[in-house]
Amino acid sequence: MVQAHGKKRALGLALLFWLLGAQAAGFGLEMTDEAGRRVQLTGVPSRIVALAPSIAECLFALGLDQEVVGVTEHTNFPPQAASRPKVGSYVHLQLEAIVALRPDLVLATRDGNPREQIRRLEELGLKVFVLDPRSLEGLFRTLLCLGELLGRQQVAEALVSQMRDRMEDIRRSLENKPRPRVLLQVGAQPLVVAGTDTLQDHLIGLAGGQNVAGSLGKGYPMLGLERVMTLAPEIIIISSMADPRGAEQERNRWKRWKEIPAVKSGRIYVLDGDLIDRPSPRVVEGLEEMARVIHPEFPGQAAR
Amino acid sequence: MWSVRPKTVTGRGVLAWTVAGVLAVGLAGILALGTGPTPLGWRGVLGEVLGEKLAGGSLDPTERAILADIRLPRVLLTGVVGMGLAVSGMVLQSLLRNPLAEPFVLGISSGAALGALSSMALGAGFLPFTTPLAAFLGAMGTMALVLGIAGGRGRLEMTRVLLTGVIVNAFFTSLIMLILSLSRAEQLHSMMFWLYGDLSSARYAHIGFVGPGALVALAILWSQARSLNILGLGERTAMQLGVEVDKTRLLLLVVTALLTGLVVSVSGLIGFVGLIVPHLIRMLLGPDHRLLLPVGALAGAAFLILADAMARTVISPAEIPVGVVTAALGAPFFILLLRTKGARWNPF
Repeated sequence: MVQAHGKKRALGLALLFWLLGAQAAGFGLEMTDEAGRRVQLTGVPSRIVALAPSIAECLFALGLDQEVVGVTEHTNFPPQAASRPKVGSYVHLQLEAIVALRPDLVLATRDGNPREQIRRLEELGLKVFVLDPRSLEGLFRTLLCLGELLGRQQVAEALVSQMRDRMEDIRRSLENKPRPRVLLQVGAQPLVVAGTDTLQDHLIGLAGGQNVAGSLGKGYPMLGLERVMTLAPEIIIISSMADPRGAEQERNRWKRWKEIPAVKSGRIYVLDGDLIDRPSPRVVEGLEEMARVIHPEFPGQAAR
Repeated sequence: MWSVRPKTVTGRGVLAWTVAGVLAVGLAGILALGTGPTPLGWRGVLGEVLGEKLAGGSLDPTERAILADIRLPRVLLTGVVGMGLAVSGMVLQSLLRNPLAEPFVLGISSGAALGALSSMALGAGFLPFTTPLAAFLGAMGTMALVLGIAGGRGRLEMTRVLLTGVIVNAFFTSLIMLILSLSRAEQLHSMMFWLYGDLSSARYAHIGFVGPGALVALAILWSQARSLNILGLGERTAMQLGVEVDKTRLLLLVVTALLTGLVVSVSGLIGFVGLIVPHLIRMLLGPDHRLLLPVGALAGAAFLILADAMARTVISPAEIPVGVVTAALGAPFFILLLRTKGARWNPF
């Protein structure tokens, strides 16, 4: 009984390998990932673990819903992605849960996932491909790269050209407008804002604003209140992290500081963090919303 | 109720308790190997060792990889760390004659933390092994500093050692806070995990790094068990009985620091094991270190292995820092024992 079952499974496996082999014949097998490492694949991956919510969103957008077998905590879009097996949070992965899913490809992010754990996954014999989108252009590259890697070139090209059109629309219509000074808050107490070389910084620029934290350095610098006063932002955008009520509270907390232009004119906005913090196809929606709050005259309905 | 306390320790007594300890570690190990996000079950685990027929279970290749490459190194390393912490705590409690003493009291932990966090802040994740190495160097530097300050030119006074340790600890803690407050949000998470104790990156290489040194240190400490007993009788008595007090104390301090530094470098700061396990074993077995040290080592291993198994499974597939579990498990149990023992309990 057990034997018969084993035989059947072996046959099934042989068939699977044959099919994969046939497909692999016309397939670019070696690619450089976005951390500059060569990654070799033996066929088109069919069991993929996405080590960040943004990666899962990209994969589903490329129509790979069958192939995604594992995701990280906080993966919430699209809804069917949220119900896939979880492998820990992206800053602290459960290696064991990943191995148990028998993935033939693990997609990691360069800055989010701990390097030590990524190295460990490779030592355990898994194929890890590292992604590193830091701007919209970067995201386009990432999506095209994923398309090539996973045999979805056409979907990826269509998706990217559609995103690019929406982005260009916004950029063109706001190009010659005055650029208000924008502060984008990603964390409270301590106040953390988006500096240069971040996705949010690129979005502010595309949405016709000027990031006042641009002079403060790369990444996500911490900021004192005094510094905010001297930077004098005309608009404050709060990225609602997990908790929208918290963001609303944050908005009210600013109200004491009437000396800040944005507070005086009441131009403090809360935007959905999932749309502006994640390098995923939905970031174009985030860009549109941001354009509307920075330039209320921009077509479409303004956010709060 | 708990008075299994033997008046004199015989070789046979040590052997019996040690065998019991080894069995406890073995059981804890099999349990820990079987539990996790992917349940393998004790039958499956035993099947790998004894063969499928005898145990009535077996594993598929993926499960085998999980067992051999992820869980086994982790459980083994956890065992070594548990031993090291329990024995360090036990020796320091006796040596400093202070029931609050534990492996981290001499500032070694904060030195290790400073090393580890600095390496993380500088982005040492590029190279394997930099963090454990930095942590170990930090621990050793701190030990030299504490002993240097406390010793000066005169004798090594235990109260001075203790106070110096506390002060150095406070100073380094402020530096740690500084690093934490300056670090980028992405790095903070792994730093916090390190500070609460994190065994999730355990690998065989870590065991190779820590194991031999830890075993030698444990052996040296055990060989000093008799001197440790005599030191407990007071300095003068010890000298009259022919113990070279200063030399022995220095040796014990250096070896415990080395042991603590080694285990902490691969595990982060796991609290409570080094405080509670020694007290528990003392309550059970009385004051003789010839018995206490081996049994304490094994109890520390078993306790930490179980705590880590819980840390991996409570909110699976996510993981909580093992230090959370050791404190949450250890404190109530300790209070219970203290109440049962009543007012008679006074270790020193």
